[in-house]
Amino acid sequence: MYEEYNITEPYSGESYPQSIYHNLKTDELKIVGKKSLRRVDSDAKVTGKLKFGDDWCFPNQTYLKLKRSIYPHAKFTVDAASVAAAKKIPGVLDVILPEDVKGINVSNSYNAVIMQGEVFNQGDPVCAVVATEEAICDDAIEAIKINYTQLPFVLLADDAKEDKDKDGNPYAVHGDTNLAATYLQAGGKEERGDTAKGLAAADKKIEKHYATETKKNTAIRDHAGIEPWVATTVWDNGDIVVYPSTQAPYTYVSTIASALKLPRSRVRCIMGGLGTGFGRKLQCYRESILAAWYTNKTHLPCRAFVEAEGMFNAGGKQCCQHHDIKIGVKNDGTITALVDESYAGVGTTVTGVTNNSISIFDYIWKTDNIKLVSKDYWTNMPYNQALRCVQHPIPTTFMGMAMDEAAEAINMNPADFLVKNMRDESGVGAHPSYPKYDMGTNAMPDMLKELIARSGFKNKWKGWKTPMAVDGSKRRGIGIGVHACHHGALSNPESANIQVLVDGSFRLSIGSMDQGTGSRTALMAMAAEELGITFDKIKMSQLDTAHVSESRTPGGSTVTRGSGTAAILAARDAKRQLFALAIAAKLIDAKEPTELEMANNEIYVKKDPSKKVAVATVCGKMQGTHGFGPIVGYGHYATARTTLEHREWNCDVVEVEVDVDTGELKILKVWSDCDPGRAIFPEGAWSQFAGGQLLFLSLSSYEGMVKDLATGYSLNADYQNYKIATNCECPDWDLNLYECPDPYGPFGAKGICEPQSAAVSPAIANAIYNAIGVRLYTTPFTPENILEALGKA
Amino acid sequence: MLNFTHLNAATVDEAASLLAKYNGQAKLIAGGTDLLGLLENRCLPEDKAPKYIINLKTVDGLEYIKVDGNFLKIGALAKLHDIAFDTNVLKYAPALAAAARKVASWQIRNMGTIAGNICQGTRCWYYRATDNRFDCSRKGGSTCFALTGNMREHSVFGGTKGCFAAHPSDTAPALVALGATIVTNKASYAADKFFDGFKDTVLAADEIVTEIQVPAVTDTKQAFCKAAVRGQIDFAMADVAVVLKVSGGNVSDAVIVTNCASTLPIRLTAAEDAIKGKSLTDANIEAAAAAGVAKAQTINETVTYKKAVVEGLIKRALAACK
Ligand code: SF4
Repeated sequence: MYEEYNITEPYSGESYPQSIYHNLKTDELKIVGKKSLRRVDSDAKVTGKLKFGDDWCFPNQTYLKLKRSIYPHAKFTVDAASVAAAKKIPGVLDVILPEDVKGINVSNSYNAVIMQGEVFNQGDPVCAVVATEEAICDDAIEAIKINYTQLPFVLLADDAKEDKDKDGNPYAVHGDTNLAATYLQAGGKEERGDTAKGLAAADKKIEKHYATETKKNTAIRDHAGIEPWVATTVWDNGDIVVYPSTQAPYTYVSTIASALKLPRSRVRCIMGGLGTGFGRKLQCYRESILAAWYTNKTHLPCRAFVEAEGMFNAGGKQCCQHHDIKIGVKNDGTITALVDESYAGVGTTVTGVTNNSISIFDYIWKTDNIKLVSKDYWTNMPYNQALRCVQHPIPTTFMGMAMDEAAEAINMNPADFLVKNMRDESGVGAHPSYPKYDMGTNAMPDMLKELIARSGFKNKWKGWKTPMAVDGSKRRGIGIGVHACHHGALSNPESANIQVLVDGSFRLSIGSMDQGTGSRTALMAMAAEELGITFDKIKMSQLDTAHVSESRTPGGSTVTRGSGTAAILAARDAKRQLFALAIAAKLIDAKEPTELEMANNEIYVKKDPSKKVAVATVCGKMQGTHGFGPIVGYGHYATARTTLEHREWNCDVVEVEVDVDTGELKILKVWSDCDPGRAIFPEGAWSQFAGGQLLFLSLSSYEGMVKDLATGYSLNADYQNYKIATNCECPDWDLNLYECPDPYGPFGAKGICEPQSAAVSPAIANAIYNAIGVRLYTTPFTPENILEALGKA
Repeated sequence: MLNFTHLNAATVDEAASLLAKYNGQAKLIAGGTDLLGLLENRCLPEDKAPKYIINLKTVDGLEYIKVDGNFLKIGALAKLHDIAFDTNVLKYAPALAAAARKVASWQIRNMGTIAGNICQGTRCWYYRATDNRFDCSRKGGSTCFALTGNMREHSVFGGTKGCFAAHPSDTAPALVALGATIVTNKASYAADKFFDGFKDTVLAADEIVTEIQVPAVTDTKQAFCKAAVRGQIDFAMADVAVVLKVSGGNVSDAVIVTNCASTLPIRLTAAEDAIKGKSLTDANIEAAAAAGVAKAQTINETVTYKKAVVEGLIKRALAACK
């Protein structure tokens, strides 16, 4: 009955369910977008009552830990005598050896739950221990001896791409070559237009190499989530129930069911709170599969816990990237050609790292000639994983640095250069490689101008190599950057249901996790608005996969859009059934449900709103004699589309202070605009925006995991030595949610956080250049790298 | 976590006799902010790991900060936070107050003691690697792994007995610059004779720091500067502490000490000599700073940057004394 509110996307013909209030302004809505909305789980969090993965404990609890390889590549055997000795330690219940779990792989054969005789990365598991206490696991792990035969290895992408090991000898991690994949990212082609011609026609050319690793430093990035991986598995009358810390409950169900050869119906996942996702918790981890394996065998509850060092060494990373960027510009600022040929070292198990990483440039920058090619190379490093965005932030950083250099080459104000070169098309025709596709709204042109004006950039920026201020060795500089991304949108499939209760209240269940972002509050707000009930009438349970149909893993800021659409559908379905009940029970003067609507906890006749009945009254009849049992509204949303999603925008101006004597960097002030579509839950949207900015600022300015190049050992696999930005590094924020509602997102929402945060990084880099007059070509922007750029290291 | 026996000491004498009894197998603990990490990650070889931990928190009366005669006296167990904000420390030893305030985080300053801060072990990444992954020279092995590896956190002023690990204490250079005395249950040491670039301090196995004495004078100009990647929460890339006497507009006496970029706090005598007899003009300061790092050795390119850091800090600290 609500099909008229669906919006059809012209290119794909896809129909997007939309709220009946979609076109209202925020001040005309009752719940959605209200600044007074407060996070529904904040009380439970601050009082410590919300249960996280590590809080679950059951009678006869057992604990499982992995023993991990200390070498990046080696053959190994487990010393049998030491295993026998470990088993004798009081409290040790079992030692799981490679042969016990042969054939159980997480994804491919290089990713066995326990490695089968050969490790490819420091941190690969060589055996596991189960004990009655976690500390006893540690004692047993210490007691077990492994016989290793070390093998050649490669850490740096620059070596890997030459098919050489660290010493320059011929070597490939798997097979004959380290080249794992090549991606053509200009609309799936090697180039759009003719970049050679474009470069030839340029007045000035920039040709630079940018990298996140150097010969001195591996500098891959960890997700640095506070909550480690943990999962407790419980035997429940034949079923395996898992309580994990994960973004991916349904992946847990499918992975464990397939690993243990159980029907999916026998595996269930119950979620508590989640203390960070950031992309690192998108998979079902080896430890959890082993815990389930042990529980299935013994019927004992088993908790697998991965300490921080294990997460650093064995968990997914944002891999190293190298970018060879060429830009051709005319003196009037026109970009005649843009080339980014990039490569990455991707670890041992996962390709697809650079796929899509640079495709964003195709629709951000105005140019007729563009070439975007990327390559993945195997290395003996932790596997690559989407982490605080897929792989866009690093390319965005480097491209932003290169564009600043291009603007300098023609002596154009960098803000004017950006304004001139941002694609300003929206809707159909906005994407040069997919011209029929509706790219939705485009906030960028106006948002960028607003940011430039608000920050006073053009007054503060005094010219190339001219700092804003000099105070002894301290130089103050200002920089600007832009970012666009197509995440935060595609979300497939999503399920929701709304139970209608006899007292007129509603319980929403959704197949996606709140990762601590506040998405639960946002989804409840959308469901309540659509239902026409007050916010106090809706509750939302923690996710239990037994209660909601399979949904996509929330990652890439997709929850608001994907799950929001499912919530709206469930609300529609619940309303339709409630209206039918009201008519059948003769509680309202109408013949068809289509004549009715709900608002203020009442059902009313659309043509004569004075005719109404309280929702609670109708709900009270649910189990009466009108042929209506309990009402549950179902919503399921799945898109068939595989092409790009809508764009999301972000631009930043940053003011920094650099000490040219010591290389110390202070990020003083950040002005940032992002486009959340419509901010459904403004407080949550703001904190996602600020959190995203801080994490990307951290990524480019502080973070890097250092491997000892001689041994492949991780030297800073802990939170003291792996430096992430803390509250003390928070600059003075001036953040603006520049709302530009999307035609297809629920209530106009786009995803928030990941897609709109990376512009801070190029802005910092360009501000450093403005301050010190020397450009950086590597991240992170640490004192070490800054001093090196200054010729002092 | 390594297994150990935890013993509470009621007095310094009892702690010392326990240290003597478990000769070489016992370690002291006060705030615990240094030792616990070492134990938890099993960084030491089995024969060097302590089997007994002797707790000093149970010793009463060692948390004082007072002026006694010509000295500012600080009990070994005084908390870094208390030192940072104590009126007498601020009056007589502002460089020490600044150094204490720049140690790590509020939480650590509330737990960490002054004696613990000067007696703490090295933070060398290789030394601290889990499960004694690198059995290096400092642990009795034959190799320094840092030398051919990554020395970002190490000494740029050469090694001690083939070890290049930086001494991590922020308060140590301030104490050396102030001419402090470290009093133990057995002896008294001038602060510049207390540290050892290979084994942290000169303390004997059963020796315990009980007090720190700083001359209570007010005729000096002092400064302490620390450079760290993220500000103070990190161990320093380098520290510089400066204590000057200035008369008639010229520096009549100067002590300039650096740490965290050297294996122990060292006096930069070339910088001292360069500034003595001169006024604190920018040019004189720059010359002194350059002289201060003239002897820096960049034996591994990953540590080269620290030379600039120390030079910059000397300039900053001297300029602060203007
Ligand atoms: S610097 Fe010292 S502590 Fe570090 S590896 Fe070398 S010898 Fe060991």
